[in-house]
Amino acid sequence: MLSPLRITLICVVTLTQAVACQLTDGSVARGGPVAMRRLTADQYRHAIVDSFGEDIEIVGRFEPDNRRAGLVAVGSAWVTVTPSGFEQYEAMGNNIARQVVSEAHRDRFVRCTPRSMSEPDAECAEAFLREIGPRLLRRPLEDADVGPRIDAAAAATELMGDFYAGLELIVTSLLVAPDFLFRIEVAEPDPTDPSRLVLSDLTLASRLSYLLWNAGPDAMLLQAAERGELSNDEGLARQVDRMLASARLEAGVRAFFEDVFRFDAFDDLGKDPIRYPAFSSEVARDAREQTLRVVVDHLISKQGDYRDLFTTRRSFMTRKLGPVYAVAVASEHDWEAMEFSPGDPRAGILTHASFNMLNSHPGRSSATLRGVFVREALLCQTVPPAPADVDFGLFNEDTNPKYKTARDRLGVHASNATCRNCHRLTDPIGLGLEVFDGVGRYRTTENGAPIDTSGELDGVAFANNVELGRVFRDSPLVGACLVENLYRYAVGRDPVNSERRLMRDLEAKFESSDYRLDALLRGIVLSRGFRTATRPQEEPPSTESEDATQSVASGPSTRETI
Amino acid sequence: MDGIQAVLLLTVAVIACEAPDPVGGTNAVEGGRIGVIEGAPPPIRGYVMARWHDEIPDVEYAGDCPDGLNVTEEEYFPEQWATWRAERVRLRDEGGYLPWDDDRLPPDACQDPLVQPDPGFLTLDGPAIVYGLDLDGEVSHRAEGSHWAEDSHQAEGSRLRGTKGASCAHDDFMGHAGERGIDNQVWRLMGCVRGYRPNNLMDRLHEGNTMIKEGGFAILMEISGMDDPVNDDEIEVQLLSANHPVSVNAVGDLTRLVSYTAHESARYHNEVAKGKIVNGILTTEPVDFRIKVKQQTMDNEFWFRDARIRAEVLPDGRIKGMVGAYWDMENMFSTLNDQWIGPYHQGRNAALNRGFMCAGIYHAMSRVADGHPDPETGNCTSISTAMHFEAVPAFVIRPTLAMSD
Amino acid sequence: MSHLIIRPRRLTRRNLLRSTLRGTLGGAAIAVGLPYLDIFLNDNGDALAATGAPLPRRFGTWFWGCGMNPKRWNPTRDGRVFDLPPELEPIAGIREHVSVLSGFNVILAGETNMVHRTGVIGTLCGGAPPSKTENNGPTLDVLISDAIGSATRFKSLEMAATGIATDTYSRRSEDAKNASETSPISLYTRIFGPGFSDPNAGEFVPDPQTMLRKSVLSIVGEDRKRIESQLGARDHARLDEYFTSLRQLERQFELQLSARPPLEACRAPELPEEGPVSRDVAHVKANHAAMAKVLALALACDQTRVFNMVFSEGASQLHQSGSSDTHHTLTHEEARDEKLGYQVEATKFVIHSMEAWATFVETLAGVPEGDGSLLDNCAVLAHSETSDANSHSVTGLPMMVAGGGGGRLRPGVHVFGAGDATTRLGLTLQQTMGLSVASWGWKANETDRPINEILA
Repeated sequence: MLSPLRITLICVVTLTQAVACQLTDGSVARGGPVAMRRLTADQYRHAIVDSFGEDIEIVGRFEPDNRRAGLVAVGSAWVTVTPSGFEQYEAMGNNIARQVVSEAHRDRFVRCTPRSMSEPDAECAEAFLREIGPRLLRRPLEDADVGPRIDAAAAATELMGDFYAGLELIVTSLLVAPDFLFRIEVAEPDPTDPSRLVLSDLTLASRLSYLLWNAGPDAMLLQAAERGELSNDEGLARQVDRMLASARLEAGVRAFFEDVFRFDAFDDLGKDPIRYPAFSSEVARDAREQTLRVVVDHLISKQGDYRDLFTTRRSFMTRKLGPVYAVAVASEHDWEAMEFSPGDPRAGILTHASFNMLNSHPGRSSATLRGVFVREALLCQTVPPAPADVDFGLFNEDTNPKYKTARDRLGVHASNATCRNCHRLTDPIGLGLEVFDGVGRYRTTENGAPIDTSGELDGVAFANNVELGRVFRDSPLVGACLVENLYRYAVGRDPVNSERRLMRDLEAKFESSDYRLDALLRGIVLSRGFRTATRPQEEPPSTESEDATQSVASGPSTRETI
Repeated sequence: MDGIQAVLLLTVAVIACEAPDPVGGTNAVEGGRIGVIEGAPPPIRGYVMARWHDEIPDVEYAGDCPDGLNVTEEEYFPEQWATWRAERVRLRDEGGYLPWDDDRLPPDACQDPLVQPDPGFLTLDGPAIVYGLDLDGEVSHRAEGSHWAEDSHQAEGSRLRGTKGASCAHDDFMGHAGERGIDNQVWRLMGCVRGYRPNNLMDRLHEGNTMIKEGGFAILMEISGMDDPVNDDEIEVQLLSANHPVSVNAVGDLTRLVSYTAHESARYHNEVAKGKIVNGILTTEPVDFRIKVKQQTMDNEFWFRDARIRAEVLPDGRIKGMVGAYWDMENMFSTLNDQWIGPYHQGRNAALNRGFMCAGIYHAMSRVADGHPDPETGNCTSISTAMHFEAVPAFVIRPTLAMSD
Repeated sequence: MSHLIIRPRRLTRRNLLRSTLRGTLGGAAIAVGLPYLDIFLNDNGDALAATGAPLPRRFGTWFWGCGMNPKRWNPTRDGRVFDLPPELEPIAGIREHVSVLSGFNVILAGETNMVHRTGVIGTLCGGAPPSKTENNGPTLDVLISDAIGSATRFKSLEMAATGIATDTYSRRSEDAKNASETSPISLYTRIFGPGFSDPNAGEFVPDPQTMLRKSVLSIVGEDRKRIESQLGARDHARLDEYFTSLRQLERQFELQLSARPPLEACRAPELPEEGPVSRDVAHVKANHAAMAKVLALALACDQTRVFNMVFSEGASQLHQSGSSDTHHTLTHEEARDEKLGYQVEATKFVIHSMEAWATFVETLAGVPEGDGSLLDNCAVLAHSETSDANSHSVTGLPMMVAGGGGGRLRPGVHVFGAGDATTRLGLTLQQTMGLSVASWGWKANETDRPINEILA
């Protein structure tokens, strides 16, 4: 059993570790080690759509992603492919290949006509390979990619008596290739200073494309990379600006916030049908979409201040969400833009149904889970887990007549020194959101007693949940945490020590650009850290925090019931 | 905020559509109770009917049907039906099918009640205690000198075959609180039909509430001007049909606070009734209303005339009570033949399952009718009835051109 | 123990040419150059070549979450004649097939007890993990399948009765977890669907499609050196794992391309019925039973020799129909009944878990194989991540071993561990499965003493 003093130390140390105030080593900022990142399920799908269009079906089960340091994007640099995972990729790829060369689709993808339908035609096969290969492998083809495939395609044609059987083999071979399934980053010596490593143009193209569009580089970007345009500032800036202006930016922004907000937990979300009969998987689906719509609308369409996400009253609504928010929704099937009135308790994304239903239990809300989420995902702070032998009986009984509200029940934390040190980080935030029940509906009483949502966030007081949003918005940690999350998402790892100064620079620029996301994205891409690398490390990065790892879809339920 | 600000904000908010009527705002829901934002004008409160069904008493009374229950067409024409059934089974064994309008059966009176002679019909006699309202403001007796408590048998004349009964005269029932003058001639009519007896077929169907849950029968209600749910001397109530089915939640009840679009046809945006609330009891003045019903094989409407409501506004926001009305006779007959549970409850088949003959019931309707006398003949054309309902809070959205989906 | 006489039907090139040509080109004789055959048909090797080979030995794990009530689960008497306390009542019908182990601990020796985690890692990996990401693998089943899994189509099969793919404890490391099959139908389709070749079917004709798919893997495999040269040590290891997985699939195709010796016990199961998949304990039990049936025949058909079934995951989210109180929540929130002395609702899940375990064992015992049953040739470890879930205790972890282990185990005994490490059982099971390992585990959980009482 850890002594109270030791707990305090752990909490304090972990807090300050996450806040950016490191020593600077004075040298030019240098990126960390390169990563080899496995495609997520969404990235795989985008790759297929980009190469073969929307009507190719993708059938199979993707190997689950893993969350590291709070992000699936970082976990992607750690996961590998297990035997059953590979079995699925091969089956999936084979199925896709069969559709691509099927009579219904082949005219769209195979530009040449073979000399014979039943005999090999190396020229046509090679033309086909050179057409689709670079996009899928995210790099130009080399002889080693081409020769063996053409030979095997010819052999396949001879075995099956069908030219297209050879093409099918080509497609499958591309879809199970490690270069396809993994984004393999390559660093090369900097021509101006061979002691340093820079990322190759192709690697930069990939990083850029996945950051901004959550997809592989398009033809223009690949071309620019092949021509070496990305290794200078102007060339890189040109591509960044093109991609920031594109409609595809939305996909990238959505993917980022899905990861930060841990929305994959929606896949496994269940609620008590007796306490929350209005909850359904469609309500959950719409709640997830609602938050992402608000984010995209605010950050992209309006190019708004990121911090204002926590106070904005603008939202989008559907008829499924209407009952949760107790608002009328005129449109029968579509999304409807709306705005809550000035006195309304809904203000800012912390009041959205999404976070409140995700960070709750099946049968009731949870101030601590919400507080933990806010601290970890939005403020980039670490909250240590509860000790193993703590007795939850008193805290969790919500039918005790003496403790009517969550504040009453959690009050026991405040009175116990061992508990207080960590719970004072989380509970005040969560209690400020207790007016939203386990599916995010608004309420003013619990068990007949009024809900008090006053509290303080790092010393700044708030009187209710609307003020919490304002206080949150004004916290210096909020912008800094977005910068850090976005950087880690971009490079697939924690920042290394030599990047600490870069982080502070990015934060300062973010602030001076009025917290605009496109400015931050641009700043990250054009930074040295994004474009340079250190030698591959043997050991995992030392900044890995102890509590960081969390399996995707484990959700709040494996946390203790608090 | 004042009314003008509220309207402005709501107009701004609903960008995609122009809703001419303000809709319910973001009312706080505390523990299920709908609260009102301080200082705002009383919002229009919307509701959707979670339950709606005819009154069937809880118990059977000894004097209900002294001459027994009504016969079905099969019991009345046993040979013809036996022949038809035998042929039907034989054909079925060969993979064939014999329809319900086959020549072996008597002409279908459910489609045209005059193709058969009136076989007679047994109506309910007894002094039952029922739920209902006093629609005509008087304690009525049918036969002179007969009193609901003393004379429990129908006057002999009414049971003669083919006779049109005494126009509009009827016996009232007694209510559960001892009140007299309850008008429910539909119960007189259906009370001796097997399927309509307490705890029988229709009673069980009502309990399952499938008519509403399956979605073909969605009724909305709007109450405006309700400052105080306990005492308010001036409110307005409107019933409307919805344009789409109701939303049912995870445990099978209607979800609260769902937005419903009112029916595209103004025919089902009924007349607004004036009303008041006294000590928590809401009552309205009589108006006519039509309710659309479209489900499975049924595509019809209910037409209730001079309908009035008597209900309670419950603390958790629900409204629970009764509608007393005169059911237009021809409309009632058409709905009996256009039922909502598919072929087994449609027309002749429904009559068979429920226990009556269409030919008999058609003429019996005239005998029990007690409302809206025809100016020329003096015969009544509508039948008093009582329906129970329970409404939960919802948002009523008026359809506009801009919002066609 | 019986010895099946097996005469493998080797695939000669002549056989292949004859059958494929007839099958695909309508009988016209076409001169086929030999070289291409090499691309498609590597040397098959000796999957089950030798005559007189014994029946394969199988290993599996069976996991249930949130442990038990020690006072109501732990038998009080050691040895062959032991009592069945109330929470072991459900195994009364199979007690002759099962050994029960109580009183074995994951020895913390200063490491943090990571709730719902340390107990599993200790038993399956060898000790108390120092952090959430370190020493989380390889698990016992992976060690065993590394040794014996290459002879079968599937290296191992993972299943979760809860329907959640991430409910799995089979892993090589934190980043390489073997995802679970999530429904009886998906399990059936994967094993007995299009890729299944029945060893008892008459004439064997290798499927050209399989040849093509296998050749794809050869192409990809050739690229290995070029990519590896670009990587650091850690990514190198990850890529190794990828190529190992590729090689496993290649081997799977090879086996599908070779005639397998007939297996008496093998028959394909019926297609399972489609039913709801959820954490409602009624659904979980139904799906578990259906999956067990498919698995049993998969074992009889030698599709795999290593399997892992998760009935409920650690911090079990199972719930009764119509209630949202999960097993896990109840273990923490439900008050102990004053008279009975335990949490009534939470304990119902312990009984459900033990009933499911009994079903599992019965299913394996119900497949005749050789002179006895499939179970005689299996060693199945049933365990949980904790004993008393309320305190997340990792002392006295409940464990059971079912099956005869191909003659090496003698089930039906209760062994009290007296505080020894659970790794003793992992060591014993590895040795039972033929691994050459003299000691196992790290730090305070390292051991070189197998549990002889459960051995034959």
